[in-house]
Amino acid sequence: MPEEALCMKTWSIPSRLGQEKTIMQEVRSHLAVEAEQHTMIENIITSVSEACLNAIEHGNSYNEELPVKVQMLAYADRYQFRIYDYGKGFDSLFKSSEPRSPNYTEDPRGWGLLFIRNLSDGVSCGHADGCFYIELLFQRAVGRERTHG
Amino acid sequence: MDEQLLIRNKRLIPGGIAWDLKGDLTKPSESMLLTDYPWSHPQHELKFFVLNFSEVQYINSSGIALLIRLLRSAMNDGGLETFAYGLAAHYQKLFRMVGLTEYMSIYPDEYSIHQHIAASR
Repeated sequence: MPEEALCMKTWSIPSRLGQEKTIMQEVRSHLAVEAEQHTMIENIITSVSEACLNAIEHGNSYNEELPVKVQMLAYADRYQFRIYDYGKGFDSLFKSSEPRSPNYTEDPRGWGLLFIRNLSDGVSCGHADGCFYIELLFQRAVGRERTHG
Repeated sequence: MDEQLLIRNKRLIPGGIAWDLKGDLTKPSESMLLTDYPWSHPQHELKFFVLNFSEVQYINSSGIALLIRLLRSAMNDGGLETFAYGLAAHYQKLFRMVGLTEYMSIYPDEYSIHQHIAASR
């Protein structure tokens, strides 16, 4: 029997820089209600916002007619976020998680993925319904029960 | 949606200059941050560059990339030692993650930076 999420929320934003802040505020509000630890909240906020920025810039190429969709599933032991865009996606998701010096010639745009890899407990990607998505996992403190729908 | 980055105040400090930043440090911050460097036309001896992040609410990876360009110029073109204060612990963690602390020392407040500068002179 598939595991049932305690809560599911979805948001949609136009592909315009700055719109990721809407998602950040919504997610922050939900996590605050759940009384999650401050460090975890900040890790989630940064990871999800950076994923949204990648979707806006690289997935949807700033086309405001193409939305970025964010889905959050809250389970007893983890949060799962999926960020969807209409791009082709990327293959080189699983690079080394070691921090790199700015002297390294890596494109700074890759730093969003660096943050995501280092701040989350799991990252994967895939395609669904004609969209590319990146999925982020964050482990919760054990013993969480359903608090609201 | 971004609150445009402003350099609210540019002020002289002993041996250098300080910028008080306000707003969001993101991609649109480029024109505000990367023009008119004080070390390009110094009217005073400049050895130190201090950035006040106390009123910066949001920093993303694009903003960090701009910051590194600024700091590289301060170091390589201006020969300045750069300091920062007013950064939330989370952003300090992100800065260390990308190695930005190779270009900038982070202190809890401006007083401690001045203490360090005075001790080094």
